[in-house]
Amino acid sequence: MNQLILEKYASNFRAQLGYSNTESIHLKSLLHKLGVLAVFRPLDMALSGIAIKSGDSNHFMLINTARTLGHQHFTICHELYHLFIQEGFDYQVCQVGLFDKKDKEEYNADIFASKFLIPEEGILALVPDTELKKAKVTLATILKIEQYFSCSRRALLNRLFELKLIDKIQKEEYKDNVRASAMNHGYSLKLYEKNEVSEVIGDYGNVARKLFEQDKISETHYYGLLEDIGLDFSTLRNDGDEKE
Amino acid sequence: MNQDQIIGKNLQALRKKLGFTQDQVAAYLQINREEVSYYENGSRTASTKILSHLANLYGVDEYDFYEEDLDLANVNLALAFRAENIKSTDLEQIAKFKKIVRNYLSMKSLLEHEPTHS
Repeated sequence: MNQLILEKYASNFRAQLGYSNTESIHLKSLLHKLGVLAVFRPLDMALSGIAIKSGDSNHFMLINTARTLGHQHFTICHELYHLFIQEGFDYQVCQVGLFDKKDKEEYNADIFASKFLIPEEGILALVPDTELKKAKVTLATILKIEQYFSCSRRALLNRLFELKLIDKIQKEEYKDNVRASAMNHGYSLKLYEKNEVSEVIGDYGNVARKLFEQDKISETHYYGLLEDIGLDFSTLRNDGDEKE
Repeated sequence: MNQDQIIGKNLQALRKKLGFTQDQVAAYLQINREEVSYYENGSRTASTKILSHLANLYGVDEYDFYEEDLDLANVNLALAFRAENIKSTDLEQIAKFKKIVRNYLSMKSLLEHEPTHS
């Protein structure tokens, strides 16, 4: 699939979801909106994520939180391609960011993710005219863009290079000392760190609760289902409040 | 074919379909590779605990292992991946994830059907 078609898919997908091409997307809210059951877990470094689709209405993804937050956001967009854009998709384990040309759909997913997460129009809106004239985006602007779109430095540099807004020398120069550059410009480091969180997004708990309330599953079964998503009821006192 | 051989044949077919090596499965189960081999050739009976762990890893129901003519084409929660980069700790997490997927699909199906108290 060529770049222009993927650009069109990314732009259409944004429009279909009610986002313009200049705004930043809160991805966890988007997952809720799309009804994706997303499991966030810290994994060893080889995996970025997994996507599974069952029928037309059941979408699942596993996101590795032992990667930086910016990388996780890219992974979510990558998996969205597999789940909502790719035709005939069944399952996929992904190592994001490789732009692996040997695997066509993996490559397409990376390109789509890049265009969906960081749209050209949004980038141009954030780059001052003086920098556009020289085709030389400064580090301060790069930080502003990556913070706004919550993306990794690597993903943004690839995107800016592709748009000819930075050259090879700048791309090399800006890829190092990312955390230090953010601190020097007064930004939080959250985007550049692994958060190692474990959480589940989606209606899994609601469905379990509904089954329990309708007496279709026992109490033991209900708690077992919730324990499977990592909930620990021993942290609650008998009255339902957290222990101090 | 006796039951252990049927289970063994299915275990091997599923493992190969999903691109795992016996070494990886052994590391995930925390047993040695020879034991995996015994289960797969039907010369040893796999415990329910082993079968339960493997069901989670392969994304199938335990009763699938007992099917004489298991239709691999219908095992739709398969995952084929670049196995050389997958560590046993990741396999465990993948298995847990697949369990969540299976739980969810079972719950959705229960919601749509007659009440059955478990």
